[in-house]
Amino acid sequence: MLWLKAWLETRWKLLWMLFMSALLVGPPLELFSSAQTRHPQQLLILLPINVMLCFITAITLAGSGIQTASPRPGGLEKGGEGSTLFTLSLPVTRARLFAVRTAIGVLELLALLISFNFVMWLVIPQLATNVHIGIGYFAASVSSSLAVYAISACLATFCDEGWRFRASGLTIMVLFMLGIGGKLPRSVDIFRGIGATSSLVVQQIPWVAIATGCVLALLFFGAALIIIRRRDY
Amino acid sequence: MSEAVIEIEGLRKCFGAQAALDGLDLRVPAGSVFGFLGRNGAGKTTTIKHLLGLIKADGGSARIFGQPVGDPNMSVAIRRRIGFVTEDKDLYPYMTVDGIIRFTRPFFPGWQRDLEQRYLDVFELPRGKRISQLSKGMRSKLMLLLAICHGAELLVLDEPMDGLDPPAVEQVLRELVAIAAEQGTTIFFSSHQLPEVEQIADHVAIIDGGKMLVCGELDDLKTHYQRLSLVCSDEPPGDVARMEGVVSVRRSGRMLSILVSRNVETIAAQLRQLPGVAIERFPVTLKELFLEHVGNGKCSG
Repeated sequence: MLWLKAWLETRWKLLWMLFMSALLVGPPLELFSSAQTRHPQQLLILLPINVMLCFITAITLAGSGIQTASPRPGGLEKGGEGSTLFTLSLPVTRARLFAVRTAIGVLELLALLISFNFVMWLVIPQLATNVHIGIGYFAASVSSSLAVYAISACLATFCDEGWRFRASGLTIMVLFMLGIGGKLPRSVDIFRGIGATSSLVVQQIPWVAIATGCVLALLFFGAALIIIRRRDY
Repeated sequence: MSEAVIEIEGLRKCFGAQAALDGLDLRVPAGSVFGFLGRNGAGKTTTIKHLLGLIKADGGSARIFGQPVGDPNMSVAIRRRIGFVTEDKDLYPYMTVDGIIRFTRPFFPGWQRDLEQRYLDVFELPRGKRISQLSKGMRSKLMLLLAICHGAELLVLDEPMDGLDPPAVEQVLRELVAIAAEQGTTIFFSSHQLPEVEQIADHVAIIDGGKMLVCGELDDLKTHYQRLSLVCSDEPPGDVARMEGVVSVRRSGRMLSILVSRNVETIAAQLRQLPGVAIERFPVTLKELFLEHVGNGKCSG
């Protein structure tokens, strides 16, 4: 039943993000269909949209549900907690509440990424003939989005909603700037595989960056779980 | 002494510099209907939240069913045996009455469908209506239904009568008494509705500033606490407040109103010795007891 509750509480966010994707992706697709030739450089129009959508979705989904599972110290002391008290009084651990909410968020994020990549495969013929590059791009999108989701979920365990959004945005910006400024080795730049230097453009799959994104996601999920378990009693 | 369902010793909790619980001691006997009273901010909800594992205390200990509340391994098992009604009565607004029942049912293996149907009828809860469309009173009843139907051994109710109209209060009180009598469920409830507490509680505790002021069986308290009304022909005696067992003294002209917590016979006998004095004894209501202890009935004398 926790799965159903998590789905009911997040479905509108997912549908809203799918609607936004359609709005943002629609005009470039129209441009593609009217173009005489299709060139990989046209991807440069679509890729930033994908990156933005993935990250906004990741941050949006890693929100209030996780804070319900793990209200930060002081969060349950002033009253006005809404239905959080009812949820926490159920005979389930906070760790389980967190795990279910996180899993639903990851599935919804995957749904958005799959639909976006599916559309790209439909409109860009090169992807159909170079499947492993397309899969590499999908893997890079998933790993970097998971990393952003995990960072934001971890922030949700000790920040309120407003600060979580700001801190998540700031973290992404710092990581992005470190990548652009060459402060991070190119191989571990988790954004390398999804932007203007993605495998779709440079025809190389950044496996190390993909692995780095996954490791980062696991680390932050793990950190969030440790924080939540310490509050479980 | 009967077995205790809730045992609290020296519980402390501070929010910043303010002490919400300041060494609270409490014992709730099994099978009792226990009224937990105090002003706003006295520490009632903080105590309840700690018992439910919602906020950690800074010191002291609490046990439910003999198990320490702070033990993460026992916490889930303890919560499975407790029915809880929150102060705000907030449930998931997007669910219907039927939806929240179906959501809650699987968490409790001992869910009683016959009780579910009974309380849906008794409380006149519309199965298909969204929770966001229910009044606070209806949400109180729905939370009570959810708390009762899983066969809880302990009901922890934070202001259960809040938002209910007088007939609904009567109805809920009747049902609570029936649950305690028929199923032996211990009911621990906080309330500001003192007449209602007096109507159903067999034990009460009054706290203020996070400390226990009065605790015991209601009948015992009523036996021990009495009000003496003293009418003097001359100036009333000034040293009554110092007598052992006198809680407060209020003076109005030549009349003294004395609240006594023990030694009532001795005190009355001593006062009768005074010349020109007429004494009458009155039983004390819970409201009087409450007001005397939490400050509104400050003594003078």
